[in-house]
Amino acid sequence: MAERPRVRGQGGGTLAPLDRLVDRRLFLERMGLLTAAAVAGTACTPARSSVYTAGGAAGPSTPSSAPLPDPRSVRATQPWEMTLAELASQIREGALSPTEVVEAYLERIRALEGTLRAFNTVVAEAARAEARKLSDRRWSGPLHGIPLAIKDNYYTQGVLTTANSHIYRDFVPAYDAEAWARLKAGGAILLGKTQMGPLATSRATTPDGDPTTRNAWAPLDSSVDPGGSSSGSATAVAARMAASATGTQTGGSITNPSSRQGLTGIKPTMGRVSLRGIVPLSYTRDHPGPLARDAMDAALMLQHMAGPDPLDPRTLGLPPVPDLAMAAQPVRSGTRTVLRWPTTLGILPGYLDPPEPEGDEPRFPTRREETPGERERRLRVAAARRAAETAARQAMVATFESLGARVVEVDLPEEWEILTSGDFNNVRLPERAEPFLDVLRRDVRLFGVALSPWIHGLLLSGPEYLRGQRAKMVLLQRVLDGIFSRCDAVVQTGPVPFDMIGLPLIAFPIGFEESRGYPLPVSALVGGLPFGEERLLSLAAAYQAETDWHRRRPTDPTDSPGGAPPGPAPAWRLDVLDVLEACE
Amino acid sequence: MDAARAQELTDEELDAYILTRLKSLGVDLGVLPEDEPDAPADRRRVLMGARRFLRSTPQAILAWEPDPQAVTPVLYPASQGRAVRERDRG
Repeated sequence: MAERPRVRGQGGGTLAPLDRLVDRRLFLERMGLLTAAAVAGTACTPARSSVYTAGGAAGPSTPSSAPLPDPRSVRATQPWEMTLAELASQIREGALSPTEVVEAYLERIRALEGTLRAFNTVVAEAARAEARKLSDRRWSGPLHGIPLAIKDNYYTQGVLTTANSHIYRDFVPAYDAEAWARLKAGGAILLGKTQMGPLATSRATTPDGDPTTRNAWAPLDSSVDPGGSSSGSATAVAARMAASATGTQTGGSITNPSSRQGLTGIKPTMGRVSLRGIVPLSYTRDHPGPLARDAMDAALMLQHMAGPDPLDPRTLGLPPVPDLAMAAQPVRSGTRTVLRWPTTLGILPGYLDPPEPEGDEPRFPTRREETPGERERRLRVAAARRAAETAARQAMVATFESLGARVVEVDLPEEWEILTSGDFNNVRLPERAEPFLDVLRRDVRLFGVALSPWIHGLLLSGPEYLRGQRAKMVLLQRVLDGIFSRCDAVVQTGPVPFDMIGLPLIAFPIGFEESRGYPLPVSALVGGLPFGEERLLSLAAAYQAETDWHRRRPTDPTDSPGGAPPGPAPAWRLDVLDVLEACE
Repeated sequence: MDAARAQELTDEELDAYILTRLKSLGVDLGVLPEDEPDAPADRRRVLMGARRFLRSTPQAILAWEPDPQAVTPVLYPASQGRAVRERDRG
């Protein structure tokens, strides 16, 4: 790769962001690598390339030079109140040991899990044992002794991995998912495996559709969506039951739960993080990534997770992972926070307009007719929420302008509505069915409420699948040539378009709304260019240096000696058509 | 068959197609209950969803007609982004 030039932003000279560099040699090198692999018949399991640093047990492929917070500046008194970066600084200084940190989180889980149901499995004794080992070792980096929650579709060696599905009911992997292995190599400690939508489809439920995880901001109201499918990961981090967590995103499953629960979640560019050892959903669209408390924590997580994996060809031939944690370090100019890089923020048509009066507040159960009173309340709640969202968006854009961003309205590309529609989104479904064909043949009941998309995947034929792949390339070209000819990052109103074409997305909180009589987070979703994670993290970090939405946490459910009691049992469950709708 | 004619297929025709296609692949919906609202999935709802899918998705995708010489099918488009920009710069 060509040496990265330096640019002079408001914050002074700094390496140019990766997203605006074009390197013909890099592309040719990538094509050469893939061609060679194909000729050798090893495209699925290419040999280790000497061009790239292998990840895995080595930890992050690119170590960060970003400084950790000054331990004297940490105001939180409880370990679980601290951000990951703050915890790291405390552990490095010896002010806290990994054992103290793990015990604090286990106590937190004991107190809250009965109500929130964020976890499928908590590995308390294993976490304690690992913490003891790490407490006796020299500090090895920002993840040393940091307790994490891992989504239950990541393989974890020796620990049950169910993906909330009957199919994996008794599955104990013999190895770790590459993304988790990298976190572990950095010193992270597994607290437990988190609840998720069955096979990463809807919000978290049992395989047969009974809702499990609560939104940490509404622990007693099961109708408040915790966001799916990485529901348990989001609740665990929002309720301070883990320092940070992992998720996967195929259709919004990192950014949606992050948005619902006031977290900073980043879905990286396709291929940036290895998918090896993660239960597949759609192999061209699955993206692993972190759900974190702020941009810096997300950067520290992604710094470790990202990088080439010789056994996942999707990760090979890409630009090297930049210093993401440095990108998430706010830049000061005198007394002001400024953007790390000159940035034009694109605003989609209508993004800041007053909302439509009719809302789309979800209702449960969907199969029962609403009474007029229920409908009136649902629409009133939705209208209030949308009005609050619009106000928060307007304030967010004003904040970015004050940080030095240039804000421009960008047009949607030609045929946007068609190419990002549910029908074109469905092109991914054969990718679900193919790896599960043996299970479909064995017994379709093993899919529980998640069955329908797998059946639909068997009904789509080759021509439709191929045309859908053409559509993705057309969409990418139009997004790059249209939207990104005018801006460096663009707000989004939903995750699907950028999920389809593999571009990065970041979600971060920008306010709260009280449509139900208590605060629920409102968030922004911003998309970037290929490998634009560092710019997205830098934008969120600058915004968070000037706001405090990301520091707020939900009120704890009432604790009692045996832990907080379960909330009222939901009077509804998802069925096969509900999950289908959630997937569309 | 054009999209409008596909819309005209009866439920029975579509069900026959769905069940035959699945049977040809060795997948049997017969293990599901026929119509059991309390079950996570039953044949009635699975077939209803599949009919809705077949009445919409294949036609919508095939109705969109790109120039096949100009656009290649790409599995992982994001990684091609740099190439697209290279192309545009000549």
